[in-house]
Amino acid sequence: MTDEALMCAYRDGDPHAFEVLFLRHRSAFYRYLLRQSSASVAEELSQDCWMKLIGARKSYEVSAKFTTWLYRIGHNRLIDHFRATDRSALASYANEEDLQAVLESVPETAHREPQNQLETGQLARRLARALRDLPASQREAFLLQYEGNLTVEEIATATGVGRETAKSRLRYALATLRRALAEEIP
Amino acid sequence: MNPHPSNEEHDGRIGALYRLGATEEPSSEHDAFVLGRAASALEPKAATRPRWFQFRRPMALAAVLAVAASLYLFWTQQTHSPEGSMQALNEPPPAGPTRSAESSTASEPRLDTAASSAAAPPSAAVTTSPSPATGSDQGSLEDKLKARGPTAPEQALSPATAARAKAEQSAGLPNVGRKRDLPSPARALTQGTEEPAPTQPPEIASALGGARATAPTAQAMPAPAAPAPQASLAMRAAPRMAAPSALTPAPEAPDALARRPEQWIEEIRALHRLGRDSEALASLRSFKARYPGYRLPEDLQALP
Repeated sequence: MTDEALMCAYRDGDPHAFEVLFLRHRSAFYRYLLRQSSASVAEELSQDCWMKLIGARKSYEVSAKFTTWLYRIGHNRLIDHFRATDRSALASYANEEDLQAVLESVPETAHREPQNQLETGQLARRLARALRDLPASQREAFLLQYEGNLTVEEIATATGVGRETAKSRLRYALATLRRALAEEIP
Repeated sequence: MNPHPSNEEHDGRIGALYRLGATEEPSSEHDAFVLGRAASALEPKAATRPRWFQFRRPMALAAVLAVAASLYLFWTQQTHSPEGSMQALNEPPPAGPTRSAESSTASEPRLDTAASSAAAPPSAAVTTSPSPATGSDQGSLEDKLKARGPTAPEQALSPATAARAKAEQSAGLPNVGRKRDLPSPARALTQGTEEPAPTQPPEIASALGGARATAPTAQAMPAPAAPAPQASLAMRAAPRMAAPSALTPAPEAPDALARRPEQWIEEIRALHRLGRDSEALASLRSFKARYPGYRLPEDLQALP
C-alpha cells in the first residue's frame, strides 16, 4: 500500500493506516532533522511536524508524493527553527553561489572499496563529520536524497527552490563529501 | 524517469557509507505521543456550541423577567387605567331586541344618556347592587319588584312602559328607582362595575333625593335583553377583585366594596327618619362591623 493510499485511509478515519505510515517514515524523518539540529530539538521538531500533518489530514489530497509533503513540512519547520536560533545556518541558504569556486577546486576522488570493516566504520564517521560541516542548504539536500529518497525535482519542491538550485546543492554536497573521504581513502 | 541521473547528483558509495552510520531512532515517548494524538484526532468531538451558549442561563433569566414585567405592566394598565374602564363602558352594546325601545339614544354614549336623557328606557338602570343594610329586605324587595310591573324586556316591547318611564323622568324621580325593573341575573352580572347605588325602596330613594342622583352611576348600561354582552362589558370594566363577586352576588361584599361610609350613613338616617328603626339598627350594626374605627355622627350615636 502506497504512502498516499495510507494517508487517504487515515484521512477517512483509519487510525491503523497512520500507524503504518508513521512507522515507515519516522526514523528517516527524525534523522533528517537530527542531522541539522540536536537530539532534543530533533524530537521536538519531529513531533511538531507530525502534529501538523495530523491536523492537515482533512484537507489532504494526492497532489504529490507523501514524502515530498512530509519533508516540506520538515523544511519549513527547520527554517523557523533557524530563524529563532541559528542565523548562520539560515544564511547558508542564500550564499550558495559562492561555493561554485570551492566545488571546482575539489578533486575527483577515485572509487575504491574499503579494505575491511574497521576502515568502513572509520569512513562512516568521517562522512558524518563532513556532513555536519556542510552548509545547511547542501546538507539538507543531501539528507533529502539519502534519507527521504527524494529525487532532484522532489527536493526542489520540498525546499521551495528551482530544480537547478536543488541540483547544484546536491552536487556541492557530494563534491565536498568526496573530498573529505579522499583524505581518508588515498 | 531516473531519480539519480548522474554521479554528480548521486553517489552510491557515499550513500552506503552514510547509511552505515544512520542508525538513530526517535524515542518511544515521541512515537507514543504522535500515535496517541493521531488516534485521538479521529475521535468524534463533542459538538461545538455557539459562543452565546455560555450565556444561556442569564439570557433565559432576563427573558423570564422581561415577560413577567410586561405582563405585570399590562395587567396594571388594564385594571387601574380609568381610560380602559371608561372605554369599556362607552362601548356600544350589541343590538338586541330591547334596543328598539330606546332607538333615540342608541348611538349616544351610555354614561351621558344615563345622566341626562329622558328617553332612556327604565331597563337601562341596571347597575345597582343589593345593599347589605337592606339584605334582610331583599326578599320583600324582590317581591315588590315583581309586583310592580313587568321586567325590562317586557317593558322594552311595550310602548306604555316607555311612556311611563318618560313620565317618571320628567317628574324628577331618580333613576335608581328604575333599577328594579332589571331581572336579577342581569343585575348580578353588572354588579361592581359602577359606583355604588344600593337598592332601596322607592320611598328611601326619594328620601335620599339628589345625593343619589349625583352619584356617577352607569345607569345606561345595556338592556338585559342581551345578558352575555353585559357580562363581557362588566368583566372588562370592573376591577379584577370585583369581577368574581359581580358574577356571583354576595349579600354584603359587593355593597361593601362599592358604598362609601358617608353614603351608608345617609341611608341609615333615611331609614331612621322613615321610622324603620329596626332596619336602621341592622344597617348600623353592619356599618360598625365594616368600619369599626369610624366616628359616627351624634344623631346616630343616640340610636339604641
